[in-house]
Amino acid sequence: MTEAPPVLLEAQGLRVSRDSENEADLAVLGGSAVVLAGDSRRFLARLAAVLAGVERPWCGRVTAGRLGIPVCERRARTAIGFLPAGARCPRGATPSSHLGLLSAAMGMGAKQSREAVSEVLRWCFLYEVRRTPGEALTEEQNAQLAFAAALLHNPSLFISQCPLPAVLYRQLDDLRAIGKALVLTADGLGSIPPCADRVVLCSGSDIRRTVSRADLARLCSMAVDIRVSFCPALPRSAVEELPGLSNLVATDDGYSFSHPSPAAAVASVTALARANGRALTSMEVRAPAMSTLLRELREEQPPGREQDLFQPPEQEG
Amino acid sequence: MTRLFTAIWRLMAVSAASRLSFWAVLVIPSLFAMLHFRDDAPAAAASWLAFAFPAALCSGWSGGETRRALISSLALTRAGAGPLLGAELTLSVLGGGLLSLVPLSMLPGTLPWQTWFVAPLSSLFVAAVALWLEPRSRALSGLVLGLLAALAYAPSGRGLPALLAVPGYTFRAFEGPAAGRIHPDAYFAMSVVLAACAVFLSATRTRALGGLCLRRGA
Repeated sequence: MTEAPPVLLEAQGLRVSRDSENEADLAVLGGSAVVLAGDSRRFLARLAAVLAGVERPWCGRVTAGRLGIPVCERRARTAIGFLPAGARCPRGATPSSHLGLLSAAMGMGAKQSREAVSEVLRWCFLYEVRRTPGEALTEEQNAQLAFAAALLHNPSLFISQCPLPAVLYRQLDDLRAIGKALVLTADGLGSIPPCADRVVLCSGSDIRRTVSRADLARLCSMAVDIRVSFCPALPRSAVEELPGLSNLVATDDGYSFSHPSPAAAVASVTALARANGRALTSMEVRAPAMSTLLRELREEQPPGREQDLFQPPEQEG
Repeated sequence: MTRLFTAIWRLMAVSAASRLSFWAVLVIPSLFAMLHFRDDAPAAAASWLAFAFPAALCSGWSGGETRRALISSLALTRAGAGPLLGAELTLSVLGGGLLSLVPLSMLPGTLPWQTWFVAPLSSLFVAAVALWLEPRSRALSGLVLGLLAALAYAPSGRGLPALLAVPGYTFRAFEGPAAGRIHPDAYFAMSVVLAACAVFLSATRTRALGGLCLRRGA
């Protein structure tokens, strides 16, 4: 019989800041990845810091690890790997020496430290630049180094305060596969890593709702904005014939509209242009802003229904 | 802890060696003091090196990018940012104490026992003041250290100014109760009190900086 994955992060009655209106509950299981997404980087950074125990919430209780240690306690640091926004390799240090210093601060012995540093450098694709001075590292390499530093002590929970570069997505998959809990941050739909199971949608001051990846895809397809232009211009009546089209608006050089299935809309527009002997001069599929998604969600939410962020999202059908 | 201290010392040494201000603060005031106190040049050099080494080492370093990056990284570890301050103060005291030992060993006769404690304590005080004030304002740190150094040139006398003249501690503690008007025990007691206060303030500041760096996102 397989064991149920443990809850590695639990927040109850959480109000992140004084401005927060609602109390939210959140649980992250081992082997799952939750992404904090919203337009306000400031709020996301604060939420991630609160979940990691770096900052105190306005109210509520956050615990981490199998033993449910309050995150503000020092002993919780062994269970949490936190990647702060804008972390850089100090001047005069190299990735190797910086990780060596941190491993010493984490209480590792010399031999254990050497092995751990070497292993994590290889895993994060930093081995080639291990002796490069900190000031010569690129932004991406600094992010990789901060990621390596956060995971050096093998924590059970990883929390990132900023979006991670795509080069680390494979490592996130590895972590999830070995049962670590991940809390990541995304400031737009484009920065949500593929490993995400659930997305916590946040406004500028509150956690609004947790949705599954499938639900988010459905929401996005409804809110996506498609812009097309034809040469010579196509009459509006011809564009209106496209099935499933909504919110059609004429723009300076063409039309903008929404469609429940962006992929089908792209195919239909291409066919329409060909059928009418027009050239498709531009086509842009714009992902919706987080604020648009939150508005869509508010409209979807039946009035008077309580939000329960602790429960997994409902299955459709 | 030894590996951690060694790694921090290496970073501090690399940072210091690359700063022109380090060499200027270390050498120029010490030479000036030796010329000014020509009669007691080794004693002046000893007391000035105990002051100048930590001042030169910590000024420029404590408000710099490297230290901020280190604090924000270490604040997340189990050890916290405390070992960083420990390493900074230890290197300042060791460096200042060792450098001042060279001219002290040239002095004839037996030195009062207080001398051996006053020199490292004054190094500790100066380092802690720089680490406390510089992250707030480089100018304020420079002003306070400059004022403490300038007091060393005040005529030897009684009262607080004589006890606050940090480079003058070691220098005047040599003279003993017969020559000076203040007993070496007073210098010793004052240096213990000042060093303790400055270390407490710098520890508070470093802890606060750890939280601040993380909240701001490094």
